[in-house]
Amino acid sequence: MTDLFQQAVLVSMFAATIRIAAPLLLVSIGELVVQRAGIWFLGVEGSMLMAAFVAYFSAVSSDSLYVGLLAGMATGVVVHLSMAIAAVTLKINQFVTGLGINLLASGLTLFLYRENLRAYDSGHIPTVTPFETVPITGLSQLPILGEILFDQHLFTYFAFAMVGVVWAFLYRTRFGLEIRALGENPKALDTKGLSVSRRQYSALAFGGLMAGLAGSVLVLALTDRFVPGMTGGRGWLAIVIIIAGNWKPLPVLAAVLVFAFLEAFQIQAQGVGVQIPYQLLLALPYIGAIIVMMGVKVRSEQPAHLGVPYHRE
Amino acid sequence: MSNSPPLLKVTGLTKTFGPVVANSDVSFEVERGEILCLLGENGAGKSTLSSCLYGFYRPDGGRIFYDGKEVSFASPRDAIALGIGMVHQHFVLVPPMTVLENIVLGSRDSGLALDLGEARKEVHELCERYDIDLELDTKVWQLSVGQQQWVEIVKVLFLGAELLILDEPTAVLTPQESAKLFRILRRMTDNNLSIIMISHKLDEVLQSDHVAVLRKGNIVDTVRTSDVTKEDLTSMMVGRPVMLQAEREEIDPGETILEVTGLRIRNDKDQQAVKGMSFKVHAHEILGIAGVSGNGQNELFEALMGVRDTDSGQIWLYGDEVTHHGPEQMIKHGVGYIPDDRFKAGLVGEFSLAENAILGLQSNPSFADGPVLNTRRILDFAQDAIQKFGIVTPGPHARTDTLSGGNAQKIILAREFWSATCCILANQPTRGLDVGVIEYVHQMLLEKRREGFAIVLASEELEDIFALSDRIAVVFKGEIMGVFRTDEIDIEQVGLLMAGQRLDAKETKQDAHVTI
Amino acid sequence: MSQYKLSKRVEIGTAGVLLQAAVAITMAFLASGILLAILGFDPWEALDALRIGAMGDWESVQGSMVHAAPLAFTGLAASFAFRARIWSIGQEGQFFAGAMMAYFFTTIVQLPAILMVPLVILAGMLGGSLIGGLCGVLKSRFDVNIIVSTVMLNYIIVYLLSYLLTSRIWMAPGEYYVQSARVPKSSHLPDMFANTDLHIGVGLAILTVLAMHFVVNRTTFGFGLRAFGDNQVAARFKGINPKRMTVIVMLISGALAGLGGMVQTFGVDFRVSQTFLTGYGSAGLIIAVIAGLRPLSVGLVALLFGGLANGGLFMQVMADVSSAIISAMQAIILMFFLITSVLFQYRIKRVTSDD
Repeated sequence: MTDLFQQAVLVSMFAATIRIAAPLLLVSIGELVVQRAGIWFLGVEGSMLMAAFVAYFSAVSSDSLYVGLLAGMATGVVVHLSMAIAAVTLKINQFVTGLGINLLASGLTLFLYRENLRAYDSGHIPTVTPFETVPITGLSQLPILGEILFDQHLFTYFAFAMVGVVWAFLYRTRFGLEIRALGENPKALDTKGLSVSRRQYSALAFGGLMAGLAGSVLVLALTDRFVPGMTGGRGWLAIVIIIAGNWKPLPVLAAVLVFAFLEAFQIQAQGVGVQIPYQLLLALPYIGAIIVMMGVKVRSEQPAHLGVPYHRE
Repeated sequence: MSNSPPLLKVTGLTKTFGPVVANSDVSFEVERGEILCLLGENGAGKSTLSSCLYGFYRPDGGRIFYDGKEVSFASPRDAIALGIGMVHQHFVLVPPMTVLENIVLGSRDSGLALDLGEARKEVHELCERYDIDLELDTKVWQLSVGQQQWVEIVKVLFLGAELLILDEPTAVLTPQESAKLFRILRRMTDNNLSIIMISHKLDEVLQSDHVAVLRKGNIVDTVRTSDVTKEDLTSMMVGRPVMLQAEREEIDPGETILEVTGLRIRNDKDQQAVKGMSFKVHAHEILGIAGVSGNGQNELFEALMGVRDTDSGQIWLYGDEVTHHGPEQMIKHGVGYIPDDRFKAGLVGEFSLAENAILGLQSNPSFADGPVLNTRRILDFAQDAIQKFGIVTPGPHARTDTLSGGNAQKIILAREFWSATCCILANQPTRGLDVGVIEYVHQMLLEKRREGFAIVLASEELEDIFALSDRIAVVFKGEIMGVFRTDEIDIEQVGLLMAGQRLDAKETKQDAHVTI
Repeated sequence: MSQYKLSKRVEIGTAGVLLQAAVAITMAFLASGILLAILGFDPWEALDALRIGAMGDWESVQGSMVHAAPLAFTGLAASFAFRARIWSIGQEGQFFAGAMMAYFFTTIVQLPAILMVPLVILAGMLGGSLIGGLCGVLKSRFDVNIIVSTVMLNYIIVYLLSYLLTSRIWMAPGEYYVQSARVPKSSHLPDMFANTDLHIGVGLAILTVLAMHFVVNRTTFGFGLRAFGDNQVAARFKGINPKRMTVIVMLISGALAGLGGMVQTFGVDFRVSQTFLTGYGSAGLIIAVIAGLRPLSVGLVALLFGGLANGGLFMQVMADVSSAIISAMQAIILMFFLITSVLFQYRIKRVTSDD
């Protein structure tokens, strides 16, 4: 292999890392805010999957990517808010509810997918024309870095920007202080007359927007169609990422990049025909998740009140 | 009567929880610049009343007037807007945040951005005016409970409170810290602030201007503090004369049962919580452990029961080393444990009374045939315990989390006194109980002492410690500041030791006094 | 001032639970009917086909029982772990592992049926408890969150099976579908009675339900398990070692799920493939929750879900509704169950009350 070829492989692998990171980053940043607000939401996988499903069929039937995008984001918000009703208002066990949302999403999307396909010619699965990348003038011409960082989808730039936005929100605004306090001791807000549930609803709505966007990006930018179960554990990885990132935005970004790299590596390795069973490559992120969890011991920022419904007395 | 209306006037306030009447027809007034004390036992309705006064609960009936105008609160926000602030008994602080962040949490004065500069100046002024020491950039979890109390008070002042409600504010303070608290409260009343203080500690109640005595949700009487004595207040509070001191007969201690040498233990945050403790407890002896909670008592008890690892040092029982024996073995050795938080560490809420009565003893041949539980004998045992300990319950099948604190504590006593054969470890055994049950617990401990048990008793209530202990060990920051025979030392000296001050060797009981 | 407010009941009692489950299931059927109507099906026709397929005659009842057996095992596995408040969602992977381990043994040993059947039963338990125990050890030794390790292993196991098949290690030569060769006749679970389709896996499921009921409620171990589940701190003070308990619970829970995979493979499919084994773990989670984690109720709910699965196949043929609706319906039942559980916890009372 020539050096030039090796360089091309590496560049495309890193570019793929950044591209693949986008949906994972979006969903993780959303879940970060949700967990900081004290809600332990395990249904992100389902929320993303539903959003991807709705985004796909809306885009196909309206022939507009933007309609699909909006519908996908709205779906994420609706699913997350149903968690808010269950967990915040009705105070149902958060673990079971999150799990139920995942199972409902996978069952419903599979069934509806099969039924919806009947509307199209047999054997012909409709596709969308995915969003194009948007090179940033000037920066994208940079050697190597330009191709890796600055010839990406708009969503990718947005996802990375959101890390900074959420960081600033959590640590530099009064609302962020309140959200952080919520996960630690909601009574500290309640006794000052500040509504706990309104803030938790808001946090979940934001999480839903991010998960909805992430699901939409999967079908509208990274591929061109919906496949049942296509989120493939990304929602669960988001939960691993938040633990590994110790509930802090920048370490969460780092963890996202690690998992995105594993996936990019897997695609690249399959592409160049490495002599490893492809199933092992596919399983890499999941094996990686367990190994990461074995290594990460710091849980200092885990919200003390995470997953505990708030009751007055 | 002055011309201006009282700052707060409550008439006919009633609050019920389902069938339980927490407050009925409560009426009282607070003038500007005075301290009113609400005195009552646990369960008399003090906390419910205060929660109604600052909008956390909605009263079912009655009227509240503030500054002469009738008001009603939909949420604490309304009460805060009027100038009513609440200092909770169980602090509502956010431990990983700084003192300053805790104080400004929820205020919107300087818009969306979190700009602490302005707030810092304001908090500084408040602290100076009332002579409160606070490190604003320290994280709250690093503070002692006494310091956390100041944070709570400044939090309320920062919101602009004119009327402060303090729920059991001295529960976690050393005697000297309480004295300081009252000096600060007086400074506040001099500045025309008013204070409602909730307490069951008579010494402190006597420092207020008026006392309203609550019993079973009603105000029995409101009196001027200078007109009454401790004994008057006690009988008003309990409704009958109370023996304030349990009778502790003189018994010579026997052989050494429990011995601890050089014990070092780390807490959950991996810091040294117990730094080389050594002591002995003999048969027929109660060793009192005096200290503000959080000075290593819990870690010590956990290590003694075998649920927490020790770094170094040994634990001995009858001269045999039992240092790394787990809880199962310690129970078998005949050590009983009464935990400080009964519903957290002593009972399983979803279990029936009968199941809790044998928790930890389920494999004991008395309650199981091999691996199978003997339900009959378990129920018989529970039935006995209900009778012997006077547990008020529908029956042995009742779910434990429906029981009151006193009845729950009696299940623990029944169980531990049955299984313990030589040693009882009692960590805050009377916390949150009413006077009747407290007397009962005291009597039971003294009876065990008579029978020849070695008893370790930790309590924040120095009166309990002095009433029951043969010797007193004072702990501060994980160290034993000294072990004294009860008649060698007095409450003020213990208070100083609890605050970390060593006693001057020459200082005797006669000239020791509060100097902070 | 008088208000109407909800006050919480402490316990709702057995009758309450049954009523609640009935309400939830009825509402779930209604919702599914509406969904079918929206998609242009005749909901009456479809749901009637479901009913006939599930319990139209003795044969379909037997079919439902056969479908229920593996579900009872995964339901027991989930309820056992949840009873200890160990949030394992690894039943899916353990189910696969049980089937795969038992299959593996058939590829290396040949024995007469009288020995082969017990061997595959033990191998099924071994496979499941290896995976479950691994997660238990990861938790105890390395503090790896059980949810994370079990979910990740669910994915990993599926890839492992995919590898064993597509690499042709387990696939018969010339086979078109991605599935293993058939297991030897000697390892098939025999029928319990003549002239029925009920293989001994069904009897094993019933026995296991009864045994788990006894273990949880009547033994010192079950006592410790329940104490640990409700209050770990108190249980620890009373001599229950949390690390040991976590590993033991995960071993047993895994063995139960593994038995389920074995029963499905050696009683029904006689081959292993991803499509044959998918969905039992997640159904088991739902069954456990609806059954209130009580083993006897798990048996009943598993029967209901077995009927759904069995009837779903008939419905696909008769009403042309994709049988994928069954997993959606299971989740819908769960959601309605959760909602009704809240409503049944409260009763409307005059006067205010806070809890």
